[in-house]
Amino acid sequence: MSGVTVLEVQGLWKHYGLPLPKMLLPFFGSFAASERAALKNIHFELKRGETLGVIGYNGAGKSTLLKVLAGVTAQTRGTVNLRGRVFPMIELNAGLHPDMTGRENVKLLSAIMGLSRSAIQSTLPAIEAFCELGEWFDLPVRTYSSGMLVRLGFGVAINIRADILLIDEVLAVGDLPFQRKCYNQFERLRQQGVSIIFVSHNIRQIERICDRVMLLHQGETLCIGEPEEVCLRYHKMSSARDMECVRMLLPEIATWQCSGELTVTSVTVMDANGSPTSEFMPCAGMKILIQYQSEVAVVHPVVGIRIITSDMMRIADFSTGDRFPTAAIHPGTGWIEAAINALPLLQGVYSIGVTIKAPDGRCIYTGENLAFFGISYAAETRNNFGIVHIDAQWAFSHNTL
Amino acid sequence: MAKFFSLLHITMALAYRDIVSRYRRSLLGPLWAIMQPLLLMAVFTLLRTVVDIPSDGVPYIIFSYVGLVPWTFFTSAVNRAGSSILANSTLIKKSPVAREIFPLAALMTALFDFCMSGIILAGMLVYFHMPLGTALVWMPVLVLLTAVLAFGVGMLVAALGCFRQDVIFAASFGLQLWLYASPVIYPLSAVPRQWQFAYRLNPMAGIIDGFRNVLIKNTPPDGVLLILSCAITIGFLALSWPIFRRCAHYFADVL
Repeated sequence: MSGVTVLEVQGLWKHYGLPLPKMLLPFFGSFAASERAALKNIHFELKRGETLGVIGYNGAGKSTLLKVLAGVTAQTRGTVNLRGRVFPMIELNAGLHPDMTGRENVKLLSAIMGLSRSAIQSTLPAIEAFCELGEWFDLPVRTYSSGMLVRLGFGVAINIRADILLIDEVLAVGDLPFQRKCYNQFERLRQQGVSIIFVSHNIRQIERICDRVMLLHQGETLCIGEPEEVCLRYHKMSSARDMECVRMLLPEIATWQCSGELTVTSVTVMDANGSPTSEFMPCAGMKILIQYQSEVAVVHPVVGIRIITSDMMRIADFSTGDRFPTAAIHPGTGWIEAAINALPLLQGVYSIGVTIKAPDGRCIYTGENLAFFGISYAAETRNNFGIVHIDAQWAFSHNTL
Repeated sequence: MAKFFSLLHITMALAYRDIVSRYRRSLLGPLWAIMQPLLLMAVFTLLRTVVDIPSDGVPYIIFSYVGLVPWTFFTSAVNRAGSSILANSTLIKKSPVAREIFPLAALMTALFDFCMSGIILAGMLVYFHMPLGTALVWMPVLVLLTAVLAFGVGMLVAALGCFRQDVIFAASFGLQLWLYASPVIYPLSAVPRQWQFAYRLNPMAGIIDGFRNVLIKNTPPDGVLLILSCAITIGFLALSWPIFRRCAHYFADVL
C-alpha cells in the first residue's frame, strides 16, 4: 500500500428527489425532495490498493453511496474527490441488448464505460477468454442462460482497467469455479494497486477480504475501522434485532415433516441448571429438551440436533448415533435431553433443528427453526473472532543466541 | 479533445446498436426507414385528387415528398430523442456518461433513416428532371438546422418525460398537429397573408421551405426566413439544454 489517497469523501449528504419550486408540486409532487436523507454527513478516505467494505441493513444507504461515488447520481451536499478512473460494478447485466451478440454488447458496454476504440480491441480477447462462453460469444444475448449473462457482465467489468472498483453484491452469482476465478482476479487487481469498495451482506466475506470496514445505519456512519471490530459491532446490532424478530416470528417460521407416528411438541433451550432461557454467554453450559408425543414404540431411535446460524450455515449436527444403549421412545408423551457442557460458540443468533430416525434409517420426524438462542458478546472472548470459540493454551519459547 | 472523441465514439456505438438491433429480426430491414414518408406521400397525393392543394407548379408527388422527407427526419428524431432517456434507463443507472449522448444517438439513428429516404428522394428528383445545381451547398446547413432543432425539442421532451411520461405521449401527439402547422403538404404561399408573420415563427416553416427552394427550384433558402428559423432554433436549444442539464442530475434517481 503506497499510502496515496485515491478517494476522499467529506460531509456527503444525499436527499432523493428534486428541489422543486412550490408551483410545480401539484404535477411533480411525488418527485419532491424527501425529508429523509439517504446519506448523512459521510466522511472517509480510501488509499491506493486498499479494500473498504461497506455493511449495513437494507436501506442503510450502501447502494446510494456507491451510486454517488460512481457519479450516476449527484450528491445534495459535500465533496467527493477522486483520483483516477472509477469503475462501478453495479447492475452488471443492465444495458445488454437481447438481439445483439455477446461480442457486440461487450463493445458497447466498454464504450459506455469510456474505453477508446483501440482499448476495446486490445481488451476484447481477455474478456472473451474470461467469460468462457466459446461460440456463444457470437450469438444473440437473448439465447443465453442467466449464468452466461452473469459471466458476460462480469467479464467486461473485471477486465477494464480502473483505479477504483465499486462492487455491489455481485459475487453471489455464477457457479463456484467462476466465483473462485473472480476472487483470484480481485486479488490480482489489489496487488496491482487497484482500490476496491465492496458492498455485501455476506459479513464473513467482508471480514475476510477487506482492509477496513464501514458500518452504515440509516444513512449514517456508525463506525469505520478494523474489519473484526466493525463486523462484531454489526453482529451485536443484528443479534439484538434478530432476537427481537425471532421472538415475534417463532411460531411462524418453524417447519417440520413427520411420518405421523411421532410429533415433537416442543423444543426448549435451558441453561446448565435447567431453567429455560434464550440468552447465553460464550462457553456456557446448555441443555436442549425435546418433548414428544408418540403413537408407537421405537427402540434405539437415532436422535439428531442441528445448530444453524442466522445466515443459514449448519455449524453443528450431532446425534445419538445408532444403538445408543438407553435410547427408546414409548407410546404417549416423553422427553429427550441433550446436555452440552460448554457450547463453544461466539456471539450471534442460532436456530435449532431436530431429526428423529428409526434404527433402519427411516425418518420419523424432522423439523427446522424449532427453537432459537442467542450468544451475547462477552469481554472474555474479545480475542476470538469468527463463529467458534477456541480456548488455546499458548506457549512461547526461545533459543538464546 | 480526447473527451470529445470519447463521447463521439459512445454516441456512434449507441446509434449502431439502435440501427442494427432494430432491423436484426425484420425481413425488410432498413427499407422500413423509407416507408413512412412514402406512405404519407401516397396518402396526401390521393387526398389531393379530392381537395385542391397548390404545389407551386411542380408535380405534387415530388412537391410533397421533398417536404415529407425532412419532416419525417424531424419527427422521428424528436420521438426517438424524447424517449431515449427512458429507453436507456439501465445504462443511465450504471454509468456516469454525459446524458446528452442518448438523445444525440437517437438523432443519429433518425439521420440514418433520413439518408435511406434520401436515396429514393434523389432518384425521384432525377426522374422528374428537377433543376439540381449549386444551391445544393445549402443542404448540409438545412440538415444541420433540422437536427439541432430536433435535438433541442427532443432534449426537453426527454428531460421532462423522464419524470412524467405524459410529456412523451403529448409530444408525439403535438408533432402530428405540428405537421399541419408547417408547409409540408402545402406551400408557404398558401398561408393567408394576415397569418404569414405568426406562421413564420414556426422554425420548421423556414426549414421545409428552404429544402423546397434548394431541391426543386435550385435557389438558396429565403434569407430572412432562414435567419428567423436559426434564431428560434438556437433560442430553443438555449432554453432546453440547461433544463436537460439540471434534470440530468436526477435521472438515475427517478428511473
